[in-house]
Amino acid sequence: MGAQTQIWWESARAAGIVAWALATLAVIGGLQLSTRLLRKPAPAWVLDVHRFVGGLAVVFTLVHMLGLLLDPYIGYGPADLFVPFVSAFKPGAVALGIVAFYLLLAVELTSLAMRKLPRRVWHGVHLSSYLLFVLATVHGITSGTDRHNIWFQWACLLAAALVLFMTLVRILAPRRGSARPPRDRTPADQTPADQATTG
Amino acid sequence: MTDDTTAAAQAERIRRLQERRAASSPRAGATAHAASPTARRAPAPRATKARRRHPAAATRIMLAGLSVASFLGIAGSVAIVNGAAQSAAPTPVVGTPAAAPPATTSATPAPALAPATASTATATKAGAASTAAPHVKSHGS
Repeated sequence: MGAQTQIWWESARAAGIVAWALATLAVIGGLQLSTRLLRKPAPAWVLDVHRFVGGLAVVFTLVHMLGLLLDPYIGYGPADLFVPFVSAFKPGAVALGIVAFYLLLAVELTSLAMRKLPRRVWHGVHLSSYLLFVLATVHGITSGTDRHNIWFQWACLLAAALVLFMTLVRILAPRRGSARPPRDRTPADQTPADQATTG
Repeated sequence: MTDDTTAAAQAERIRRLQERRAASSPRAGATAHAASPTARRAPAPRATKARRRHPAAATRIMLAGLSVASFLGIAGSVAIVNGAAQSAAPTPVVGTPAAAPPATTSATPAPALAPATASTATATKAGAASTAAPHVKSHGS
């Protein structure tokens, strides 16, 4: 195996880790928008970063898949990448990644078309980000080569703990947005930044 | 008197033309304004209002740069680890005298070397379970 042929393999691994980290960051940003745990970053700023990081996660996921497709050793074809349980290597673990990719794509596309979609549809699809995070994390832990890496293990643990904590806060704590009387809600509050707070 | 009226009318027409040009295209307006006699006295104002930067523009650039840097850093470190594993792995296999049977002569190392190198090359990528069937794909370090 030459050094040139391993470039794709190394790219796939690196892009997978970066995509997972970006998706995690996007989920944490979305939870920050809905919980307002931290007061300092303005919601509009968090929303912009949340959107941008989500887009970057899609880009790096595509790089991850491209690396797997072009790696001559692993020999993945389009069916291995897009159809669950086709892969000869750990079909279950790889299927989790494929489903997570489809969820990521659905969340991203519905967010891009948010203004044209019924709010309930957008919100329902957006809530699948939690499932996306779980599937992507389990996919990385079960099928990733770097699952034995201590840094990766700690990153997974910390991310899972943070997402779990923020989710619990979102479920249990009263909503700050709904606590305000309706007359305080200005039209500026009802921009997409406000819409995202319920996401 | 007539010349003065004609000149004034002509100046007025030129001014209107310049205004229309400025309204139609910002760049043309800026050029026309700079060419007008009044522009020589006063500094020309900017044709278009400076576009306000997005508050998160710097964060976007920083995040994109950080992501690419992380990608390159992880890929580079993986490549270094793989390279080190490849250079270190053949040494005990090929260089150990015990690997070759005592009865073998000097003619045998050549065929023995090829499978050993192939297996270590596979092991660096496929991990410990490289001796499985060829169709089984495995992610190694």
